Amino acid sequence: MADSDVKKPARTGINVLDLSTGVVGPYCAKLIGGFGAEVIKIEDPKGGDPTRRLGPFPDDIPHPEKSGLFLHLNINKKGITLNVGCATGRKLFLELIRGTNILVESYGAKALDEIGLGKAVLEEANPRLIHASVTPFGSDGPHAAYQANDIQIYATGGQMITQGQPDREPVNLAPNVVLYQTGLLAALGALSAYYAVEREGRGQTMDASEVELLTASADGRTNSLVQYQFSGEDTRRGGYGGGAGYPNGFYRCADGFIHFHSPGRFAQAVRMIGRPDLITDPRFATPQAQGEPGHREEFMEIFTPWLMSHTKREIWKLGLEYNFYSSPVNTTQDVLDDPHFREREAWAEVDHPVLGKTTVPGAPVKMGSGSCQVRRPAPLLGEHNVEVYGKLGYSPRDLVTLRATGVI
Amino acid sequence: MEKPLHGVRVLDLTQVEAGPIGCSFLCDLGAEVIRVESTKYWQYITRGASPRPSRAQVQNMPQKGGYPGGDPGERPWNRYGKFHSFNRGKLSFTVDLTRPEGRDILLRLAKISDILIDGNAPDVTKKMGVDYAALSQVNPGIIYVGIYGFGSTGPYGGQPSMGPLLGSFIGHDLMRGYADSAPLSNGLTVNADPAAGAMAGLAAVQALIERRETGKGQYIEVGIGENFLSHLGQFYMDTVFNGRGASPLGNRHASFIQGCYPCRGEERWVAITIEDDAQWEGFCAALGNPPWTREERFGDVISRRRNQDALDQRISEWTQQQDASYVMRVLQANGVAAAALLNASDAYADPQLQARGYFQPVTSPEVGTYLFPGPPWRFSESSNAIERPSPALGEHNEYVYKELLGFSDEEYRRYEELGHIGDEPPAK
Repeated sequence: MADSDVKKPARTGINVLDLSTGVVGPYCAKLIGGFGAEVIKIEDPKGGDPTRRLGPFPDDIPHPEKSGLFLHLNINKKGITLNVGCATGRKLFLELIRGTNILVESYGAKALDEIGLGKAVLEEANPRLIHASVTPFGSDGPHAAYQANDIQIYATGGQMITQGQPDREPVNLAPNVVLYQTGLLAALGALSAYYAVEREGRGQTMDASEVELLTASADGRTNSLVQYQFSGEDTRRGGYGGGAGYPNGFYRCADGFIHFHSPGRFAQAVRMIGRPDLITDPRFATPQAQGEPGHREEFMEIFTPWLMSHTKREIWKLGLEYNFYSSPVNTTQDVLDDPHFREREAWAEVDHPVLGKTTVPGAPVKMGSGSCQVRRPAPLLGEHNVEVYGKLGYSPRDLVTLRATGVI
Repeated sequence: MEKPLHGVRVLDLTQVEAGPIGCSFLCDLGAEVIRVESTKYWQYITRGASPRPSRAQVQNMPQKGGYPGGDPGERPWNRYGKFHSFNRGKLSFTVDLTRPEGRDILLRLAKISDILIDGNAPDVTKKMGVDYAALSQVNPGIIYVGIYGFGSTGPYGGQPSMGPLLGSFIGHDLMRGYADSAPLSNGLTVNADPAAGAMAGLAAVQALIERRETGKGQYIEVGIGENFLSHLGQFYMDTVFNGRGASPLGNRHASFIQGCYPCRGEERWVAITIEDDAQWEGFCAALGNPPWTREERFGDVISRRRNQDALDQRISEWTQQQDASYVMRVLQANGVAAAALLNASDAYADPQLQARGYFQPVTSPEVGTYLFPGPPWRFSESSNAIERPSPALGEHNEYVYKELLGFSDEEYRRYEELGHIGDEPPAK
């Protein structure tokens, strides 16, 4: 990376207005903000984004300014309060829209239309606006008004039915993982649409359904759909690692767990454990032999003591030497302590007015220009009311009135 | 209005999943994406596990290996399902980058391109003399995005890895799975790769925007593990705040009532989340307010949490009597998030996806016509159509060599003889 370009990113001057709640919209806005765009987050005057109520909290004590989830999702943003449900609120909103390049919202077209902020109104206020509308199922169709948390999006748009063991219920991924993915896809669409405004001279709406974003983008879903079309065979919930091609899958070891993913590399695995003789052992010499009843168990009788006398990092390193791919199944503390991620600047520190100095995940991508940075923490509720409304010409006394009347 | 990235040219130097899917997003957004392929080098699980599997081999694979009708056909490398999933809309040309004139071809192409996505190990393009240093010499505006497992720097810089393993490395496998048996019972999941692909696309677009101001391109790295870490941010915040590691919740939620419940029929499931008192009332109403819902042990949010095992049992008893689609409809009508789990055939039949016109017919000469998932986004003014199928190997050799690089017929023939230009992969 060019040292001379670090810390002097291009001033691209993009203004983002974030009228979203939950994970998808806020993460989409956060990512665009990470590159240096100014993101103004609009929150309901009464309590703000509901995410402020969700943990993790320090010492598990809920506090509206101390939600770890809210902090992570709203890094780099400025925050204002605004009630868009009232006439004055809508007027202020449209004033903000005039100076906005990208609007991110999770209300949906119909809900915005119902409160007088429909497509025609927004286009008139700002014909160059990119309106990124993100809803669970999309703006139209029989399920347009349906609600969803991450598990419903994964159930509908992801591979959930194939995840887990065949004799048990299908199982979710870690909470919210699919929503971060859809937020990322939404950001890609929104920023691309913004890129085109200079060429086209006007903006447009991006109607993004979380289910469609996920279907098109994650965990082999697209692939399983296409392969179903090609083969007529549906996907199945299969056991992983229990079959042939061992060792493959998750195994216990001395200090936790190791994940092997080198199916068919039996020779490499047994060389790694110092038992090259097993390559020609009739029990394991061919895939068919390996699959004979009892042979896997016999292999595990040899393999398990070796696993239990090596740590996950030892096994991982050895595997690299022997061309056998694995990974330690790391804890969050393992990752936080890992010098690799520190050197890669995977973490950043913010100075939060209430939390104090706090470690947070850092920039997810390394730009040669240095433009992707953690610059400021998430905003306190209404923290930038004076600044943002001040730019629109409202004095602090006006803000007192706006507060008293429930607008901000 | 033209598609957002109309006029942008992307060189796709990727294989397997992360890179190809990232490039496919840029392609869906309207960029011209040219896959840099080879008749001399077989990419890992990109156009197949092997170039020419037999029919017998394919018949035994899950979903028939992804080959239409389970038939590898005469040119299996053009019929592999996974390739068709991630590469529709792209162009393909062939060149042998290990030879000096091949390297020159890529440099000439880089001169008239905007973005190159590198999905190989960090030292591969360096060794071939087509890394960022080389490309930026001929085109200072080139945007070079490397997608690398651990990145190119740091203690593990350049180490080989793959998506499922990076998920384990970055902590995901202790955050997911059945609460009583994770990670040993965890299935294979590949989330880090598509996330990296999407981030590569996003960063490339940001770089295009920056280039308008600076006139210059840049070198960008997406570390697959680092990028995915961001999707797990809330668990890291718990460790930062409380020194606490994650524990898998299965299908449960940290605070709400949530689960995956069996419905009538085989492998029919519904995922339900009941957040608060209001949604509990909606849930009860959807069931017709049976007496069990009025038991004190289910009467408030704390009691419901404490008695969730019993509550899950009761919910299952109800869902098992119903079709999953009915459960979804009646709960949603009463303000509760519920969704039927969809397998592949369910997805194609889903009324919402159908109403949205989400699936589009795509015709590929060597495969036929099939319905494909559409682009992820729906733009109001620009087209959302899939414009062409996934390319055959070397399908666009003439376009790239003759139209883009100005080769004469004679030069083209010479490069065919040299083995750069072709439409068949190596023997194995």
